[in-house]
Amino acid sequence: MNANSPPEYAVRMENITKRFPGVVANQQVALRVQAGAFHAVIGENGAGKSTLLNILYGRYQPDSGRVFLHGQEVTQSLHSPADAIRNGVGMVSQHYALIPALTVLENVLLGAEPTGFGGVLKCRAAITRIHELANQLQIASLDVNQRADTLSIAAQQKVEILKALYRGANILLLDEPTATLAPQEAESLFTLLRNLVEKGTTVLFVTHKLREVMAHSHAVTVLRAGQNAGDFITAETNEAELLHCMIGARLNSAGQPLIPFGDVTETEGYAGDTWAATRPAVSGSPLLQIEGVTVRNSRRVEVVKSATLELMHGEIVGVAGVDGSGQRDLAEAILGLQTVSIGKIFLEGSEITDDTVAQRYQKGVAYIPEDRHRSGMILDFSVTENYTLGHHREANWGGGTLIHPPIMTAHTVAMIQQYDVRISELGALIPARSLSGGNQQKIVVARAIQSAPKLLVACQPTRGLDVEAARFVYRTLEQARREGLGILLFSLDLEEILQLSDRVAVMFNGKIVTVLPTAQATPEEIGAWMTGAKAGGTEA
Amino acid sequence: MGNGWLMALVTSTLFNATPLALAAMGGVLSERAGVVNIALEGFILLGAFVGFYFGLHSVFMGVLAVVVAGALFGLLHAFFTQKARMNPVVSGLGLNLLIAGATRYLALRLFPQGDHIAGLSPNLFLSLAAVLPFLLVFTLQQTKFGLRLRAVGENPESARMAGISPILPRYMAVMLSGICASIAGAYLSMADAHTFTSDMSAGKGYVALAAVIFGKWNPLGAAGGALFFGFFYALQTQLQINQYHLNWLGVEWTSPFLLDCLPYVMTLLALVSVIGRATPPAALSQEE
Repeated sequence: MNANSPPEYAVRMENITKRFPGVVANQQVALRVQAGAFHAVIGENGAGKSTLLNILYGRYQPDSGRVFLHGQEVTQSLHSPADAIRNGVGMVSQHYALIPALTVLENVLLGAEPTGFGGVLKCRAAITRIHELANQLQIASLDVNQRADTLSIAAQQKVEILKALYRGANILLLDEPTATLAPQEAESLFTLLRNLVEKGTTVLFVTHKLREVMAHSHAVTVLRAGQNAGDFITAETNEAELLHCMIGARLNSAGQPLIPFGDVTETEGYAGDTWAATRPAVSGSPLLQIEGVTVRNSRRVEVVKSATLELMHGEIVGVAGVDGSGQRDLAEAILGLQTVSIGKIFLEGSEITDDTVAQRYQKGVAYIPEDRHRSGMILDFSVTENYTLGHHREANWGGGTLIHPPIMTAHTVAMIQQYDVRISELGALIPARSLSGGNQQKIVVARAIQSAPKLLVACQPTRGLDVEAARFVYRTLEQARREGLGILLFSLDLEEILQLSDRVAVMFNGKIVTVLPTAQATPEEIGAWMTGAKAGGTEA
Repeated sequence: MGNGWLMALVTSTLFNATPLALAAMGGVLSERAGVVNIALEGFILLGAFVGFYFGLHSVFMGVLAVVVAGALFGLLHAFFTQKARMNPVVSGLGLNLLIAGATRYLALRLFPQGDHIAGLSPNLFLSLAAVLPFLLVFTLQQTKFGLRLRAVGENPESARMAGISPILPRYMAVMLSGICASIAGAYLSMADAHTFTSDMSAGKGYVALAAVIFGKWNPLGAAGGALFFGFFYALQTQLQINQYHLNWLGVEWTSPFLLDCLPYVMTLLALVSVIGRATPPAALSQEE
């Protein structure tokens, strides 16, 4: 290293620009991570954090800019994850984690296989090494011959870290690592990561949870709309400053940053910490009754196990749980998308267990699916067609056998104005694919509540949305609730659940393990139920 | 009759299962790597033609040509689906039609008088079909190539994240698949019929694919499927040879025309019974 070189950075990215069709994901972005640091990259959804991480891992090639690892320029040789791995970079990704059908051993070895004659795998030494690493990472009782999909999400993540270390990674990248973890699991993950940092690994993680950043990181890089918005030493900053930096000039009338639940106080007339806390207690007759519902999946495994739950008119019940605890199956059973094996479902006292989806819609059930791209919309259909889906039989949409484009368009144009969907002049006719995530979600939400349903099953209604779009969803739901709508809110975002819900139901391993009034629920308490640390009978 | 009939049925089952099993191994390789391969049918016909044509010169040339042609057309299917991003069903259908038409034309041009060859012993193919499934199980489970092949078949993006390019395992798998299926075809022309006739694959590629699904994408299971379907081919032949007659409800059930349907009817019934219980490699259903 020559005399005028800067202090040793494990990662140095300069002037990174990356364009995707229609968007500039990163514009002249710089990122400098000191060797051995615990470094956070924060920003809203769509700020370009993941893109930056993926460039560093060789999954995307930047349009321009330079990448240095430990002072060595690697811009020209970083064309694939294989190149990144060779340079000591490991990544724990949000979506493409382990391969479910392979064993833990196969997953760890994949791409770094020790082989003997004729390409035959030689596993013995590798297994010893894996157990050493597992001890070091304090992963208890790891069975390497277990299929990866039999592990919990938290355990899978740890195996992914192990996999990176097995390849000799000294720079570890994590993309939203706590998005689907219970609070205790997240805590345990950070303990593990801190240990790694103490042993000299550089850890770089992407998140939008400021609390994690403040609690664990050494330094923070903030991105906003694809550009650098600031660099901070964690010890010298605070949450408010970071938040301000993250969302920039979007302030409310009182000069406070716009945050999801923030300025409802003056605009909606609420006071207090949460929306739910300010509501009068819910009373009246039950809207939805789920009685001992068991759902089996296509392999006849019970994914929901005798779930019992009640929802009143005008009430929001949040359903919390670690990802994959049976939430989706329960939601789909209420909608009629999955068959109920045992048990009954009642809407306003009359049974709907055997009704078709269309019959349930007619009786006032509405749905916000968790994945707007896969099941929420048909992306190549126009905005109008998407908005019409599911309502096409209704009388005020024309009814009958034929669809009625003028009526559909009129309804859609009215919706576009009412919900301020940002769209070009020809708006109603362009394919839904061309809209931003926030605007797509507005259409999905508007479609669900436009026929004044009685019950709304909302699954992850703000997933992947920026603050403004999330606020819109919250306010729309709250508005509809005040008009008497009962909402069953399935979410992996505990904060969202605690803010919106009157009561919180927790699912663990297919069971509803508890139902608590939100006032008595703390994140720790809910986390304990989510991970099975607390167990008990169902209470109402 | 009696024992002789039974022995004939068993032997016939084994030899009917041989081409199915060989082609089914090709199907397992391709599909476990995440590439749908209905081109097995065409590859069989290709192997039958090439094996016969070059086999007229020498058996060695015939076998060599079968392997080379299978690999080349496998490469073509891999190129269409992986590089040109063609839908694998469309690519497979195209190859099947191309091969069917081309071999029919070339057969008319090259040997209109219907030559015959001495060819190879069927036992050779039978032994290969018996060993190959076990070899494949070992390869898939115990070798680096097998692990990578399964990984890209389950989730190419995860494999890429693990530092593997999905291209190489997939090309290799589809080429090997082409070789296996064309060897199955070589059995038909070089060891069974000792001649080539147009469309002599007669749906065996599709039945082999059914055997793959029936065997849940496992080489041994697929070989079992091949035996199962091979049995009904054999049964149909034996019933015809023995001129067994069954009249019921005014239908001549043992008419050769109806009996010819038997293996395919059984294929349908068998597949209906496994639907919902078989889990295909994840990437097979994710092709856009």
